[in-house]
Order: sequence, then structure tokens, then C-alpha cells
Amino acid sequence: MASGHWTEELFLRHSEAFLPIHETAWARGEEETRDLRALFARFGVPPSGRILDAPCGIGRHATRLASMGFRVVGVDLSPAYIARAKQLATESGMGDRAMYIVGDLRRLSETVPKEEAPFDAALNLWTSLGYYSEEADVLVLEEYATLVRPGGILVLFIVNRDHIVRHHEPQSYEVYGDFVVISQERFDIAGSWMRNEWRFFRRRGDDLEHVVTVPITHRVYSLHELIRLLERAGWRVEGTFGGMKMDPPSVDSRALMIVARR
Amino acid sequence: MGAEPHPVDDSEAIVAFLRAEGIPSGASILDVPCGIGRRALRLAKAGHPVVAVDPNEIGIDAARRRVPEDLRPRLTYAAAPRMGLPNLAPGETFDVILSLDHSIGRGGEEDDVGFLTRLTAHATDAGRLVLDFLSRDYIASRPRPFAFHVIGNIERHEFRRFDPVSGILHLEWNFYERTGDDLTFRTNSSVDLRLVPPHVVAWMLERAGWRVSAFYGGWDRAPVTEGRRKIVLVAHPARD
Repeated sequence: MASGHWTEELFLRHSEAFLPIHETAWARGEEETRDLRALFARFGVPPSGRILDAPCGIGRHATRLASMGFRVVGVDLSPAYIARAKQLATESGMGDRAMYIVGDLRRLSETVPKEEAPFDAALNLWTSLGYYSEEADVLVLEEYATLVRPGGILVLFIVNRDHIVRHHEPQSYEVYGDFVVISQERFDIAGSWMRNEWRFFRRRGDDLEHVVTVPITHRVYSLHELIRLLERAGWRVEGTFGGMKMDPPSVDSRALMIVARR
Repeated sequence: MGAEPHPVDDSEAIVAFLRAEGIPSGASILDVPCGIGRRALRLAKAGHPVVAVDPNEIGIDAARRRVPEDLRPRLTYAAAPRMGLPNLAPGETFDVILSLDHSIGRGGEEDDVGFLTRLTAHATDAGRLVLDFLSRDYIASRPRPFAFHVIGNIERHEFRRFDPVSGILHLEWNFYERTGDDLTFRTNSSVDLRLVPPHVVAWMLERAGWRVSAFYGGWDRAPVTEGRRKIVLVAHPARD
């Protein structure tokens, strides 16, 4: 069982357990990145603009944005994922257009080299907020603001609390290559926390060999709360959507995408 | 861990249900199918003479071994195919017939009507059938593809797929033994259950010679709502 914060347990000490999830998601990054490019065009991000993708995982968006002509900096807590991102970027011929750095979202402004800022857009994707506390979330959103130019945007893509209320699945079973992840998820309605336990297994024939069990606890927000958080951090919300396709948001949207301008 | 309660772990609730229905502890019970016989054992402890029947011979053998000496006079287990009720004289009747764990919907509708008709012959004139079945509306509106249950050191993974056109709920189970945190595969099984709404069940019972007197949303006798996973009904023989 984890001794430190779950993010350290999962992304640092047992990064190999979560890596197959990143690798499985890599393929769908192609379409998602095209959606992001459409969003950038709609919100005035220049075609060769500077993009900060944090956290970036193994760079499934960042490397592809680089191949579209953007200049990209990707930041992730996990040295393993950053190493894999660099490898994939090099394989794609984007090694010189995508910079990858190990760092903590709460200290982004210390992590990103000064000469790379300011950015035209920053990305916080795949529910990468709510890991610590509401105050920490405001701090993270302020960190993006210090790195994005006035008039630049922040794109937030995050699970929708309202969807959880209506569609919560208490247990799930997912296969990622040779890994199986069995989750037990509880929605703590009082504090709006997901209190999950993810068991990671490696398949050995018909057996499941345990790799690690990680308690994953994170805050979930409704759209109006996310807007308030962004405003507290100095952002002005300009677009709210029910996903990457920029459909209207609803309580049934699995994830929300929010565009805020500095 | 907040795993779903195991579906067989409802013996106490059933005893309470029978009492709430005005069924006294001495009332005789036919429990078919009885599974591994856990409920039958609890009902016998509660004072009921019980005959419990299931097609699974291994389960029945194990159930027999668990019966304490003092309960043997009033608890009989028998292994028999679904359509057979062994050791019962044609006229042998019971005050209550329990048919639980979605005993219908294993085959076609005629199969169900045949099974329910056979049960009618073994009910006293004032006897009751207590039948439970999964709510089609609940399953259709909550297509949960996976659940796991932990029973002792066995972890059961259940994979679910519901086809709204045929009404078939396909269930697959993998059984693992927990060895530390590892899961060692032991066996698997699967079943197709045909789910039908309550009014169709009532209609099948009518054809089989029963008259439904109550539908409940579970053993707590709450009303049937779309949020209830299991529906429990009580029926009487339609002998005018």
C-alpha cells in the first residue's frame, strides 16, 4: 500500500504500472490533437504558436502538436514518462520541436525555462487537476497564468462531476496490453471526492499477478465550480464544452473542456 | 472495500420477508433451485421443514455435509435437473415455494411456463410462490459491464453484457483464488438470462396456474421502482 501521496506511488515508484495506460491512449492522441488544433484556431492561437502541455504524459498530444508546427514544452512529474515522450518524439522526427521536462505542476514556473515562455496556450488534459486540494488547484491554475501571455488561453479537459452523479460505475476492469486494472471507486458526495482503489495486475496465462494497489483520491468538480476556480486564479472563461469535439456541455458529458483566457 | 454485497448473502432478509408476509416458522418450504443451500439451511434453523433441490450435484453434496445433526429431520437436499423434483410424491405440497436467483429466463418462455406449472402442483391451496428476478428496466438503464465479489478467499469477476433487443443478459464469471494480492485462476462459467418486465412474468404465471398478489422491489418489501435491481413477487395457486 502507498506510503506517500498516491501520485508519487503511481507515477514515480510504479510508473511501469501506469505506462501501459499511456501507451494504449497514444493511438487516440492523433484525433484528439486534431480537435485541439481546431480549438486553437477558434480561440486565436497562432498556427506556429508556443504550447505548454502539463502534465504531458508520454506526449501523445505534445509530439503531435509539434508535428503540426507548434513549438511545444511538455512537463510531467514522471521521469519514466518524460523519457518515453522524448523517445517517441525522436522517432517522430520532432525531437527538436518538442521539449520535455520533469516537473511538478505546483512549481511549473520554476520548471519551465524562462526563454520558452510566454506561451500562447497551456493545456491541462486528462483530469490532471484535483489531486491535492482546492487551494492547490488554484495555485496550479495561477502557475499556468504566470507562463501564458496576456490574451493567451488555458485549455482544461477534466472529468465532469455531474456525469459521475448520474453514471457512476463503482467497479471497472480494464485491459492494457499485458496489464489488467481492477478498480473499486467510491464517490464521497460530502466533499466531492472520488475515493478509488486501483489494483494493477500483470497477466500470467489465466492468472493475475499483482503489481501494485494504489488508492487514488481526487476532487471532482462541476462546471460552475471549475469556472469559479479559474476566475479565482485570474482567468476569464470564454468557452465551455462537453468534450474535445466542442459539443455543448451537459450533465451527461463524461468530461468537460473549458477554454479560459488570460 | 465497497464491493457489491454477494447475492446469496440474503438469508436473513428472506426470513424477515416471510415473517412480514405472515408465514409462520413451522410453514413447509420447497426451495428450488437452492444453489449451494445456504438459504435452506438458514430457513431450517428458523424452524421451517425444507426440501431444497438444485441441479448442481457438487453443491448439493457439499450442502448435505454442512447440515448439523439436529436439523437433519427437517432439511432435505436433492440433486435434480431443473424440470425434475425428485423424492416428491405427486401430491406432496408445501406452504411456500421459493424459486430464487432469477430461476426463470434460462430458456424460452414455454420452458418457464412448464417449470412454473410443475411448481403449482406442489403448493397447498393456501400456499404461496415467492419468486425473484432481475429487473429488466434496471439492467437496461445501468449497463454495468463489470463487478467483482469476494467470498472468503475466492474473488469472482463478473462480466455483463445486455442485449436490449433479445432481452438477454449474458454473464461470464472468472473465479480466482486470492494468494496474497495475486489472483490464481480456478475456473469460469457463463449464463444467458432472459430478462422480462414484471407484467410479462405475471402473464407467464397466470398461464402456469398462479395468481400474483404482490410485487416488491426487494426483500425489504419496498415498492418496485426503476432503481430496484431485484423484483420479488408473491403468487397463489389459482384454484377456484
